[in-house]
Order: sequence, then C-alpha cells, then structure tokens
Amino acid sequence: MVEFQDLHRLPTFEDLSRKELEAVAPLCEKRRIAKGVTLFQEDRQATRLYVLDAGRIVILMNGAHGQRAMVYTVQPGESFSWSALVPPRRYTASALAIESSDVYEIDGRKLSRLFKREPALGYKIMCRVSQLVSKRLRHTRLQLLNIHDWQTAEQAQAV
Amino acid sequence: MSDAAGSAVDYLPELSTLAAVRPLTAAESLFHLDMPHRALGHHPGQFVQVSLPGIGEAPISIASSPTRPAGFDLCIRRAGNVTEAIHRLKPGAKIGIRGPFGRGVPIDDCMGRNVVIIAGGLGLAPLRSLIQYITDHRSRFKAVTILIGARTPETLLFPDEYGAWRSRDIKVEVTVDVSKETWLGHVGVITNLISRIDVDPDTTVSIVCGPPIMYRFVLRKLARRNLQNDHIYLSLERRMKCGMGKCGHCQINGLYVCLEGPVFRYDRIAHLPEAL
Repeated sequence: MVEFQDLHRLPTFEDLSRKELEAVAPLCEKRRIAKGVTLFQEDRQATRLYVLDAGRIVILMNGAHGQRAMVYTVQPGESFSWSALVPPRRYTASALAIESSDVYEIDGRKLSRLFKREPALGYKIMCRVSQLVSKRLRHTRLQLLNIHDWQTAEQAQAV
Repeated sequence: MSDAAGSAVDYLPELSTLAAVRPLTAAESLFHLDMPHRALGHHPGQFVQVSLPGIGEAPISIASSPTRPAGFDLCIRRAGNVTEAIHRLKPGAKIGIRGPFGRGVPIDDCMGRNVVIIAGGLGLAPLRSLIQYITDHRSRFKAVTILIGARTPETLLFPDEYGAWRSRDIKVEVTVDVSKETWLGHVGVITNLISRIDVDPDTTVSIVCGPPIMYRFVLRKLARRNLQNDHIYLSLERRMKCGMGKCGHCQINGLYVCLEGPVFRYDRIAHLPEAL
C-alpha cells in the first residue's frame, strides 16, 4: 500500500495537493526489482509509469545484431517509461536494473482515466512528464554533440 | 604582442629522453620523459611545448604531479603530424621540450577547501597532475570529488588509477555517453553527475577541464548548485604556439592563454564570450 506521503516527496508528484495525491496513491505499487531484471522491453506495449525510489536503473536501446546499448542512467526520484501515458503507448527503450532497486509502479491506463476525471491533476503530472521528455531530448542532443570529446575546428587542424 | 619578456632559453628546446610509453586508448598513450639536467619544475595545469626536429612542435599539458619523482608524464592523443610522429617513437628516443609554460591550478586556493574536479574526455590528462598532487598531500584538502565523462568505457583515460584515488578518500564518479551492457558505471552526460554530489558553495572550489562545449553546460549546472564564478577554475584549450605571449596564436582579445592561463578563474573570463 502506497501512502500519499510517499508520493509527495517524489518530484513527479510534488505539485499535487493532498487530495490529488490521495487519488493517485491507490494506482501505485511499490516494488523491489532484483539486480539484472528487465522491467520492460523496447517496442512492447507500454503499460506502466515508473518512478525510481532507490537503486540504479539504466535505459537501453536495441542495436544491430541483438546488441543493446546503455544510453541513460535513471537518477533516484526520476520517473521513466513516460510512453505509458502517451499514445501509441509503446516503450521507446528498455529498462534494466543494474542494482537491486525500489520503484513505484503506476498503471498508465488507470492514471489516464484519472486525468480525464480530474484534468487539473492530469495537467500537473503531464507538465512534469513534459519536463522529463524535454530533459531526455536535451540529454540526447548533448550526447549527439559529443560534449565529452568535442573538438573545435582549431583542434581539427591538429599538430 | 604582450610585454612578457621571454628569455632566449625559453625559445630553445631541451632534449629529453622518452623513458616509457603506456598505451591508454586507441588514440592516446602516456609518455614518460626524463630531463637530463633538471627537474621540469612545473605546477599542476601547466603545459610544455613538445618538438621533433623536422616535423614540428605541439603544446601538451603535463599529466603528472611535480610531487612525483624522476621525470614527467605527457598524455598525447594521436591527432596530427607531430603527435602521430611521437606515437611512433620508442623508449630511448629524444624529444625536444620547452617550458613549462602558463599558469596552472592555484593550489593555495584549493587547500583547506572541498574540491570538485570535473573532467571531460582528454581533459582528465592535465587534471591528473592536480589529482596526483592532492593524493600526495591529501590532508591539506577537505572532501575531494572527481567527476569524469567520456564517450565510451573504452575511451576513458587512466581507469586503472581510479581505485588508488578512491583509496585516498576521494570520491570518483564516472559516466559515459553510451555503453554495452557490461558497464556498471553511470550512462549519460557529465552534468547528470553534478546533480548527485554534495556542494557547499562557501567551501567548495571546482576545477573543470574538457571540450569548450562542455563548459557551457557544466557552468550552468554549477550555477544551479549556487557555486559562485570566483570558485570555479577552467582550463582553456587554445592552440598555444610560442608559449610566451609573443605570437598571438592563443590570444583572446587582450588575453594570452599561454601566459595568463591556461587555467583561469571563471569570473575573470566570464565577460569574454570568445573564451568559451
């Protein structure tokens, strides 16, 4: 059983009022994920939104020849699997626990139905989800820029 | 031209002997050099001009601490004519050295404080000099954290040394842009690591070295952690040529990176958009 106080300390839900938190809490479950367990697979139907409470989860993308590449480490307090709230509700990546981890798991469809009944609550959470998507986009751009090893035109004419 | 007076000696390379070569990655190797008649006498963060007769000269940051005896290390990326030729050398070969040049990390400003070292890619090479200095004088510094970012685990510099650094009560966090599933560290850009560390703005100094584009995002993140500009030092990469403020190759407006840098306190260059 997840209490509303548990949710309030998570950034995804910190804008919600007590009444709104009490409406969301019954849709949540807290789960311990063992090291090495894949929470969800890329391209599968996205059913659940997760928030990492403790531990370490990495996001992976399928590569060629069945190889998978790790592209992002989820930080504690951060939500992931936002695809569960947005059509076409397919996971855009996989998630793997590389340490034993505690997550909050929220049924995406039930949460969407709650949004329809309580649009103000839905707006607050979707603002947070938009921030998450924006953060991932910015992060991907920085990876594309190769910020750890980017070379100036000057360095390209190296000595 | 600056007013700095370089002596004739500063123009003349001294011959050093290549004592050992340690491959680090596909592109970088660590070269240990011995000077025949003197210690190099450098400070962490300074650089030397390395030359091979008939090929050319290249500015290279010193990658070892002056506290380490006998010789010094240069971490050199295979990138152009001079560096390619250096990579072909075998131990016993002679290499021309001018310097050390520039102003390094102000060690006195770091002593008695928490130190956050942020290194992207090849930026870890000059900072290794500071890190070795800190490990050799650990009690003079408070909490020390090193954040390291690289493209992949295979391109990380000095991974075999992180254990020794950690054993000196130094927190070392490593992230890579992308990795196979065998990697157990963080995946993502280095700014993510800044969110994870403790920063007391009053007692912390940060020293950052990496590609210029990294500075923009790291500085933004450090500002969000309330670190003031006068508590941040950046090592600027410019194409230093003479090393004495004469040729103007590394000049940014009125600033000579080879003389007044390459390490700058951020509040002194924040007004120069060309610097970053």
